[in-house]
Amino acid sequence: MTRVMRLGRVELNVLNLDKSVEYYTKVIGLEETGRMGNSVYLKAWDEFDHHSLILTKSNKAGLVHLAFKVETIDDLAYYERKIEEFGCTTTRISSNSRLGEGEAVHFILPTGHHCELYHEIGFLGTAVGTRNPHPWPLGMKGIAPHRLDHLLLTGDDLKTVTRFFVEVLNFGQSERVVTEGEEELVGSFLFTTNTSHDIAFVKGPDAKLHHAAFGVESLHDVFKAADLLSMYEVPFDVTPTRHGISRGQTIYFFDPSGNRNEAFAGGYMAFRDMPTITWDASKIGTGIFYHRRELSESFMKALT
Amino acid sequence: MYKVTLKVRNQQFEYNCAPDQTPLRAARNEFIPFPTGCQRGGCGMCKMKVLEGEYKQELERSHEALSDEELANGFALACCMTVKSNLDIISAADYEDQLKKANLEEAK
Ligand code: FES
Ligand SMILES: [Fe+2]
Repeated sequence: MTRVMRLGRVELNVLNLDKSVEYYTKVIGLEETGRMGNSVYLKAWDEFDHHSLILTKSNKAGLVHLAFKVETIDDLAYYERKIEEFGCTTTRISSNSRLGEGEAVHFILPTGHHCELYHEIGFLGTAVGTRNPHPWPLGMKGIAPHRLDHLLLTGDDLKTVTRFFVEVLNFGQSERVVTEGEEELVGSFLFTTNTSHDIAFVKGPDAKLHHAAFGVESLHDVFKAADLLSMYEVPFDVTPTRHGISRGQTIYFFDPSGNRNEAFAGGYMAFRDMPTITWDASKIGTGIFYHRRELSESFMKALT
Repeated sequence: MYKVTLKVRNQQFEYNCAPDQTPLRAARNEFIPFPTGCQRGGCGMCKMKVLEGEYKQELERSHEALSDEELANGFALACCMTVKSNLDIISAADYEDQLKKANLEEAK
């Protein structure tokens, strides 16, 4: 069975490469795994592929591309055909266009974001290895998430992008936010792993990034992340709280280029045959911030 | 201390700002509803038009948030600028509204 395994990598534009690498290694606690041109490659300690985050120097912030890892190399041709059938144009990106990466299929999502599918990528292994491993490595720095967890993007036509993920990439929809009479879809949460969301969309301008989230183990780690962010004077968007949607525990903050990050813990397990949960747009405040029960201007409007 | 006059959300505020403070920080310290996002020059939520006064804009910022042309035309990002004299600022959104209204008047 052909399968999209997970959100494998995200490439972000950053304004200052040195400052950003310092932040993502010292505060987030990722490991630098290589450099090529104007880009720095990083991974979290529990990830085994060569990188999950690429920082690329630019004069603007935001998302360059996101990419999903598919299970076999043959899946590339399979999805390529399905994507074309849906009406999106695909192109092949050749091996080693970026560091440690094999061939990829590139296309633009109905929301305008650059997306890729790939299978081949260099292998580095987790920091604890696979033979009688310790639960976590000694000498961890910063928030030290296990992995890149999910992305939230904004776009105009959420019905079409949802259809794309469900019909073409075989994702499930765990949750959705609808306006009265189900007229409009204003939030859509999609998964291919067993987490509550691997990618999500909220209504907004096309091609923009809302946040990139890193997965930590528990509420305690979310709280510790908050402590670290204060020590390093990183600007907060939202201090620790719970999401109604996904039930996860969360904290939001900004990287040195203004890209929003999240440290995310928990959330339920999603299964392919689960019924989609629906939130009324009038309840979105509770859906997003379960305690505060209202949205904030910065959370709704600050995008990169 | 410099005096900042701010027009935002159809309201006017006056507050003090120290030379080493951003006008955004100084406003928030007085509970003035200054549009705030990333505070890192990335999102453009704090974009202001400077009507009068001296200031220093941090140049390393997202050019999508503040283009070179906007910079040359006296727009600034209040989260990454410092104040060098008394300042008269209006939010980019309010400024646009004002221009629209003025254009409508002219058309009459
Ligand atoms: S608050 Fe984001 S650019 Fe100033
Ligand atoms: Fe999230």
